[in-house]
Amino acid sequence: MADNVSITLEDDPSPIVQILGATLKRSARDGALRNKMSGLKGTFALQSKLDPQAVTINFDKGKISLRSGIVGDPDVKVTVDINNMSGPNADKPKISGAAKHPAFALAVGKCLEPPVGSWQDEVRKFWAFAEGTKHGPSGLKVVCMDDGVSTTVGDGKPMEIHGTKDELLKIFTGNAVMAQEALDGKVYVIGDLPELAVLTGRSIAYMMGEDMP
Amino acid sequence: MSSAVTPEGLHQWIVDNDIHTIRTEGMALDGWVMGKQLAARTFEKKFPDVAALTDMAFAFDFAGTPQLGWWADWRMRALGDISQRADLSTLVTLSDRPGVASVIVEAVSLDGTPVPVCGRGLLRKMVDKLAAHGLTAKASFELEFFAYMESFPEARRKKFRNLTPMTASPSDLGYMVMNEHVMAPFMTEVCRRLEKIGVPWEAWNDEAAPGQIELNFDPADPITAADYVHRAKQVLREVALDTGCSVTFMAKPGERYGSGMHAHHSLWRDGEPVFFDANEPDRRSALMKQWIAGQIGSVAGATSLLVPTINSFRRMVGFSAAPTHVAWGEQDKSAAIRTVTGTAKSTRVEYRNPSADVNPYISLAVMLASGMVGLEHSPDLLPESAIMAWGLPPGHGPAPLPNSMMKAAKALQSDDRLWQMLGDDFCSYWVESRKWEWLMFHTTGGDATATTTTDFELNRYFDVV
Repeated sequence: MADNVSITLEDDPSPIVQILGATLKRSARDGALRNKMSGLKGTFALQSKLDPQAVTINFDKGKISLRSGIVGDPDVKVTVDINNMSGPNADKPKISGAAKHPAFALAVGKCLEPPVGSWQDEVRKFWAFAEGTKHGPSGLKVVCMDDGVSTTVGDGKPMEIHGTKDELLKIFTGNAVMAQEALDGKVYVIGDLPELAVLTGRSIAYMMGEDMP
Repeated sequence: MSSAVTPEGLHQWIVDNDIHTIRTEGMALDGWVMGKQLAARTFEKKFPDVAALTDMAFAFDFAGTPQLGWWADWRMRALGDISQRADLSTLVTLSDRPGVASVIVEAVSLDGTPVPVCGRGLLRKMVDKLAAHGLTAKASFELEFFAYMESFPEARRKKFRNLTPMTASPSDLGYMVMNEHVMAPFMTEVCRRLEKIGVPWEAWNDEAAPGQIELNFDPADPITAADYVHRAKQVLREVALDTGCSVTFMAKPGERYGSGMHAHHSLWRDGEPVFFDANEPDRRSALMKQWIAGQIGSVAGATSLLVPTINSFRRMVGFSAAPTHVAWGEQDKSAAIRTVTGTAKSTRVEYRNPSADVNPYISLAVMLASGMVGLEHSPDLLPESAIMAWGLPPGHGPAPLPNSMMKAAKALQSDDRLWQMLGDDFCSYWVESRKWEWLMFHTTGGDATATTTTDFELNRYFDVV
């Protein structure tokens, strides 16, 4: 496995920079993806199609840096609804530069999709990060509405979250904001407002990589 | 503004002034005034905790979105209520609304304990701490704002762009009597109403940018000084609404000079000023130096509280009358903290960080808290700045102030002494609310790469801050 991968965020990074930085760091935990990152050279940009959010990622043989906005003329540029990039109903992205740099585009795409475990594994990883937060729940029971399977973490009275496997994976891998998914009716919650508020804060922090150095 | 109304005399005061409605006015964390219109008999019956509000009143962001991401001990587990506790010393009749009175309130929990994120309550806490040092403070604010000829609805229809400044000349000159002539009908009505409610305005003038006005107040004890700003901002908005124009306290609504809210203050013991010492070469007392040492040592962390919005930081650029570095000096308007050393009674500190959109109670609370850090910990006093604190190359001169919301929030988090002085319950809530505001800017339409005021900021702050 290549050790020469460093991921550097801009000074005072914007949320999208932090989120993409966290995504790359999660991928870098995987040996094959880390090897892939260490060999990439080129510039990739991701742009929201709904608002001004954008990030430019420069890959330079393992030295990876991220900045807000579209910087220069990126080799590959993807424009997409950044709030809906994963799952079966994900937005179809508009991609420029992939025809000229197909290998680079494909490799970056893979690096931006870190491997995920089962939804139960992801619940456990998230809980290891979120448990013990003041005003948060002392336990969490997660119910998969596809098959009724549930898993419980923590010791105390659990707050419950019910959702489909895809939705559960989104919120517990840092790909969706928990309260927003609840407000949108995509997941259901049995608990109180402080618990939802605190877990939402933790899910945003997880999304931005606060669980990693 | 002090009223002589006592709890025992309240009923008679209501009868004598033919009052049917009493408006409560409390200040939200981010400075907007919130309250209820109470039947006078209800006010009497419920006094002192006269009105109930949902505790969400302190958990809405500038757009009215509930902030979710953290919680606080003072909040109910469901959507509970908090109370507004009336300060009778602020009870006044409103001359433009016969039969209506107004009172300033503080937020308390239903059990009567202060809500930690109520700025007026926080300032009261700091005033009490200062009293434990045997000291009192006097303070006064310089409130800057922009006035436009368009009404609020018209300004909104124009998306707050290309508004007509209330001025005669589009220059950046300032102090132009010609411009003040255009502003006079509006400001005369403002000053008339301020006098009717006992707010002693001292002066107003055409300020640097077109349509920008500065309004000054007499010095007073800290809570009263902040009450003056609270009331003045409300009066300015009401006169604008009544006369078909608009005002904004945004720090930087346009490309020209921004609006600050500098605060002057001095300390007193047993009625005598304590910042002056005729025997010292610089005529500053040892206590004043300790006070400044605390304030300048905490100025980076204080910036989060004094420069509260995304837009506020656009004002913090060199050569624009706003500070950019951790610097202090005598009569130095490039510095964050300016000392004015004159006579015993006039010697004072001017804190120049705060932008016009700051909560005035929090502003003074932070100044007192950081000064008390100096009194209690005696940190070394940073040398007085000998150079202009603008336009410095990186790595030269004093350290730069935090220039963004998240940098400032981190500076506050790392300032243990200021944090403890203000209280964990207040500071932790504040930092979380800044993170929320930063997130809203980036994820609901703000542009991270914009170097000038964005539509997001105008739409979010123009008529709210």
